[in-house]
Amino acid sequence: MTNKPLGNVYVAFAKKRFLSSMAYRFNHWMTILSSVFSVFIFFNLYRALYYGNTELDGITLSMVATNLIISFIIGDAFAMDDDFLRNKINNGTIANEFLRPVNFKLRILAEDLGQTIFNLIFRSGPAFLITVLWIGMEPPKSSGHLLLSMIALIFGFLVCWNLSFIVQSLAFWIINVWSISTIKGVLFSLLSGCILPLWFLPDAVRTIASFTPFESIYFGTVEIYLGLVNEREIVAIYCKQWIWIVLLYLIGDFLWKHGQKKLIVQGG
Amino acid sequence: MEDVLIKVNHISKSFRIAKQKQGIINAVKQMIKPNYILKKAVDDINFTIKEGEMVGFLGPNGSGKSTTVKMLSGILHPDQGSIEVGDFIPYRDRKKYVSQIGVVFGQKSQLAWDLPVLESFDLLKHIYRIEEKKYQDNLERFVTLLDMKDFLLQPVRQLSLGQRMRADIAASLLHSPKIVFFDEPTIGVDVVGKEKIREFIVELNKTDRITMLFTTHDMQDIEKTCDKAIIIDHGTMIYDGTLASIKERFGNTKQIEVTMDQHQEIVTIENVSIENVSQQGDFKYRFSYEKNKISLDWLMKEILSTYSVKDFSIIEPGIESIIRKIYEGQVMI
Amino acid sequence: MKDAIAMFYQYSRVTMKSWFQYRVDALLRSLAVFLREATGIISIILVFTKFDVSGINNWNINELVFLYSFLFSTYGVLIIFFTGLLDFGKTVQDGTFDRFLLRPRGVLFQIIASDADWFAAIGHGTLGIVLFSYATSKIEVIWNLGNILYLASAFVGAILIQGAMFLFFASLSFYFVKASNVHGVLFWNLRNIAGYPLSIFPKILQYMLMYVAPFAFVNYFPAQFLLRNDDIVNYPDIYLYLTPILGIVMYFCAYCFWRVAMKRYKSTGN
Repeated sequence: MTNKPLGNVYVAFAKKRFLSSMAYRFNHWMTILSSVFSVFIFFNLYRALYYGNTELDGITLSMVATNLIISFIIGDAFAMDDDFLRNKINNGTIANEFLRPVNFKLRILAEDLGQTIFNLIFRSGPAFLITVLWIGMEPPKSSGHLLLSMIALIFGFLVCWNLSFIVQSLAFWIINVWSISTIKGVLFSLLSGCILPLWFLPDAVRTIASFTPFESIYFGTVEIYLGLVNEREIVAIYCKQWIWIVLLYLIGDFLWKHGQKKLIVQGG
Repeated sequence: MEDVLIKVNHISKSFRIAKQKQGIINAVKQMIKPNYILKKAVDDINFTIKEGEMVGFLGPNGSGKSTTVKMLSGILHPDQGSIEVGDFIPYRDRKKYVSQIGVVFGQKSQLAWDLPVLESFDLLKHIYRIEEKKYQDNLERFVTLLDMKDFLLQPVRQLSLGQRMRADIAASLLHSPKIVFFDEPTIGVDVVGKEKIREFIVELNKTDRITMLFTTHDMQDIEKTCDKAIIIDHGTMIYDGTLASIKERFGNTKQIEVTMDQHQEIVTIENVSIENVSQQGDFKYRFSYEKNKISLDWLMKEILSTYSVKDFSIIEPGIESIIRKIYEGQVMI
Repeated sequence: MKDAIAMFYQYSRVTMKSWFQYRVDALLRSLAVFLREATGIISIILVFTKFDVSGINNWNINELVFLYSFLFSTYGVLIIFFTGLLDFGKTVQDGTFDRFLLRPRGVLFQIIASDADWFAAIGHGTLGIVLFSYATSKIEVIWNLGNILYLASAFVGAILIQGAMFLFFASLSFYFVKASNVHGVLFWNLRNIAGYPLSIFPKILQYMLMYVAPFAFVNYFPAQFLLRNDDIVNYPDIYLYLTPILGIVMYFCAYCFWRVAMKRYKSTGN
């Protein structure tokens, strides 16, 4: 990009996405209901598992609820359209994107951010209120912990986004990214702690999870929020998140550049 | 022989449409309490088509053409009025009726995207329960007429738009329908492809006496294939008659384009509008007049006696420009 | 009937051929479906490995697997016949549905036959059979004629119950632009929890699973018919036998709604 990309171009992309999200009213309420419902179900499942016990290995049911609300309700706002690039390639509009004086990757990020902010306010907001009133949630350890956990959440978004970008970029090689996206979703459910809190994983699986980026998405936020980690561990969580952000970014960039070349050579 | 086949009696059709306004606040409002408006897509349309006739159905986008075709093919019911096609009421005896008709949607292929054209044809043979002999005969004939031999075994996704459209048209005709509706059959197709499609359609109409209805906004499609045209705009029918009589009735305005050898003072003539269409370095004027008010030789004499003329040409209005004028409301019916 | 089967075969042949155009993709897709479906049971196994819990409401891990296997084996058949109704909103909007109306075959038949998903069927079915065989080898089930007959009719009933829900939600697509999310909330969410014993949920959810989207009759009651775990005392005895009849009744009602909705589509368009 030679000429300075205008910041407000990206604002426009974010705004566009924000507005178009409002178009599907019915869909929208249903999505909120759906998240609330999911959390409620899992909460009940865990309650049945806890039957008679106040805690399992030091983990109380209320901590599990907190984990569910943070990772499922708030994390649900993270907008990633794994099919975005695929669609652009399929319908041929990808060529126009390369011609525009706009950084395409930043543009996707901007759109996803617009969507995420929309989701946070209009989707996670109501869902959060309902679930907190319904099943309750632990308060943060302190306001400082709350703030630090928010930071971890933002880093978590970046991890998540870069992961999605890698899946998207695979569209240059794979006809249908749906399968990859779904398999990613399975790993997500099992290893990020969003449905199955990481405390509940057998030690061996927990160790595996700690070597994957999935662990760096929500779980740090939950641990900091609950005050389960000390200052040094918080720094370690941030560092780990950034290692993943950088690593995943580099992989995504590599795939993106090669994919672009491939597309140009083959002419789509 | 010239029996009325399609009888459309004063049909109307309305749709409910969500009202969309600009801006974030309105978007929020719409999300909570949607507003609808009733849009009349087709308003009291009335016509008949005879057996074996080829009729062009004209109108700008969103004028109600497709809705009418959907009603004729039995997909939608009219809100008011009725349709009879032969012994059928399209929206009532669906299964029997649709085996007698073929529908080609230019925008939406009915072929399996990933498979060779022939596979889709074969499936249609089973769907329509076409006898093997008839199927083979039709196939052979269409392959020749539509020049499909080269791509019959290619997956549809690899075909050009023109090839795909030809295959789609053949697909809609395999079961030898008596009536065929074409909804924008040449959209996006290149000139050569369009020509092939038109020739095929004319040929088929001639030999098989298939009744055809065409919607298009490509005027050439109509001029080259149809004898009759129905024009609709904003859901109402504004013309129903032969193409020749459109020209006769609305082609009243004629023009003479005059090139003069130098700049000259322009004198007004009663009942003639004069327009300066000069381009760089020449002096060109267009004289428009009504055929029934002024005669050509009188006007020519006037012009030649007033100006020193280098060249002139008489412009016959084409069907396209007439119809554009009709849409624009310049010509009243 | 013979004609319909022949036509179904023709459609499936075409669908299969399309799929085989992209072999790697088809394989990946089946794997993805398989993994996605197995997520729930994997989660349970993981939790049971970590903690030494006796079970969920006295259902031990083998019985839970048994409960799960019902869901998958029935779904394996369901998806052969009802995939076409899954993303039905799109079918209506992109005009594919209009094309079905223009062909001299039953509309519902075309929707079903043109989209039979044999690959997913194999994925779900295999998972169902594997889990079923594993579970029945670990728990004591008496295989007498009565039980076998019951199981067979409950199997058909369970498919019809879910098919009726598919048909119901597809019919809603004629009314709402995006009805797929109603399907999402009611069908998929409730289906996800149907893998667990009914009795662990609050009353409202139990009612939903019995009377709104009656998954309890898809797997919980048929499983209880054979297992008779303690928590069955909470429910009327008759529920154990209801699955086959309920399947027929629900499917009939859904079909009627479908007819009404289709009529509406024809008179209002979309």
